[in-house]
Amino acid sequence: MASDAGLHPPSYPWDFKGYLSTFHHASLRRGFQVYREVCSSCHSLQRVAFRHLVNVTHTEKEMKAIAEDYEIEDGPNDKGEMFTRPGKLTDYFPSPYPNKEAAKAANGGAYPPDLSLMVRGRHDGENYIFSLLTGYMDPPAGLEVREGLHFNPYFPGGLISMDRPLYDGAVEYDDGTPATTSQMAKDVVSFLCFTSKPEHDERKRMGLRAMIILITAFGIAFYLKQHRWAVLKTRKIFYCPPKDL
Amino acid sequence: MAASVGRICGAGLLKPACGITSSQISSFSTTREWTRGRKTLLGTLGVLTGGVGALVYALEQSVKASDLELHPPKNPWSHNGILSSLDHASVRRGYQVYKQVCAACHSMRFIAYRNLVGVTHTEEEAKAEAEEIMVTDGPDESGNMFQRPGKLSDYFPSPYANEEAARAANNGAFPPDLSYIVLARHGGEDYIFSLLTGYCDPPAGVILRDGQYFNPYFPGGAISMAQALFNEVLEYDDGTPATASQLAKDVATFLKWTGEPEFDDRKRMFIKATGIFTLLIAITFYYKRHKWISLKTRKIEFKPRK
Repeated sequence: MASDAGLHPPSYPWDFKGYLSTFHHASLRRGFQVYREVCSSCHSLQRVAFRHLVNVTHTEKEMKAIAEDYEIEDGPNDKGEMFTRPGKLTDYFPSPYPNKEAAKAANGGAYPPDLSLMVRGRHDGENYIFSLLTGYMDPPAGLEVREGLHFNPYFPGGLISMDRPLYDGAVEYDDGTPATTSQMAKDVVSFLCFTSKPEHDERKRMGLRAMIILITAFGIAFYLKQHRWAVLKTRKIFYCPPKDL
Repeated sequence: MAASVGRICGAGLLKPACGITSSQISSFSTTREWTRGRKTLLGTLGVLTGGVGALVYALEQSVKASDLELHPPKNPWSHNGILSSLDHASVRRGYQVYKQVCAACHSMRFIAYRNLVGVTHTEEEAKAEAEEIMVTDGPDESGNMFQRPGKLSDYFPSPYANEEAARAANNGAFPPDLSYIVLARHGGEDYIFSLLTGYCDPPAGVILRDGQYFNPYFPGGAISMAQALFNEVLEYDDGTPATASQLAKDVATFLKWTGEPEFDDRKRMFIKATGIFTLLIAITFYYKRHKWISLKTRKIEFKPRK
């Protein structure tokens, strides 16, 4: 029902929107930095492995170094015990909480959802998430907001458990871009768009090739068809009545 | 059999007017018409198939270590007959043996406490058995795992958390899960019984590593498990004298049940199936003969033109 949805977010001119537009990979790199420094304390990214980001946001060496910062549980070893080791490229991003119940307990009963497929998982994902992250404001007059909830017009129902995560200067970008709230929101949304649609660039590349080939093939097929059918299309059939009548 | 006798003798009943011999009628072989090439090809293929089959069989047999394995004798188990069920008192004692002797090292992951109900224990007894163990459950509302007493729906606990821990605690050897061991070993419960009672001193010249013991029934002879069953190693609840062979017999019967919990049902169903199918076969047989009589008794005569 339309009334269940929050405020309809505006459509922003994302730079990857066109048929022939890829992701802006510098934005993806910044977005990954925002996820790691701000969002990963509560939100998991379970379907993304470190290796997925190689040659997308970082080189293989950079990504290996990032992976080694994480402690991953592995095992059992020869003694049957589980142990922790530094991360490898093949590992998936570790979750901040061991299970859903722990996540809920640490966040006032609200479960911070996994973000791997969030852009696909919400209607009009990119615009919605951007608007949500930048849309925190004071509640309208008369609305009572209880402790632990915050007002956000874009969230269905208007009251979201997540506090505003992005403030100007919350992150210092490695490439020196000024880290305004909207810049961070734009970058993290681009990153989440990548995690939901890792095939995006390849898909558009393939789409271009497919269109060229199909249009050419269609042109040839059309000509060939017209050529073959000309015989029938230009035939004339006469009725010659017999002379006697 | 009656039909084949009838076919042989009945050929003599057909006395056609002119001389088509019965030998010509009954020999329908067409191999006489084959070319020489075809005959050699098919002959070679047949020989090759036979040869390959023999080779595969020989290879299969060669890895079975059959020269270092003593074949267990066939014991007269009370459940051996076509109409004989398991001895449930023996299965109950066998469960006690498993719990007190074997469960220290061997898991039994596929049996739950509820499986015991109606087989070896009443529901209350099985519940009491389950409550003796602590089970990890959770996560709870805070996300933590917690321990609770067992329920009927829980499976038998494993002594080790994983295979690596089991190997580390047993000199590198993994005590196998016993749920289906009777099905998984050639010789079934006979093998288990012989193995458990078969520990003896190694023959002269056989060298065993540290931590290995000699058992002629074990493939290769050197088993990592020490003899587990001794006279009166435990006291049976029903008062049966707990000799080593009694313990082995009971635990083998218990393991037979865990591997084949459908054992009794299967034999019961066999009786029912036999009755039903005998009746159906008789009816079908009569019906078939009834329908075929017109063809079976027809006579075809060749009357040459005058």
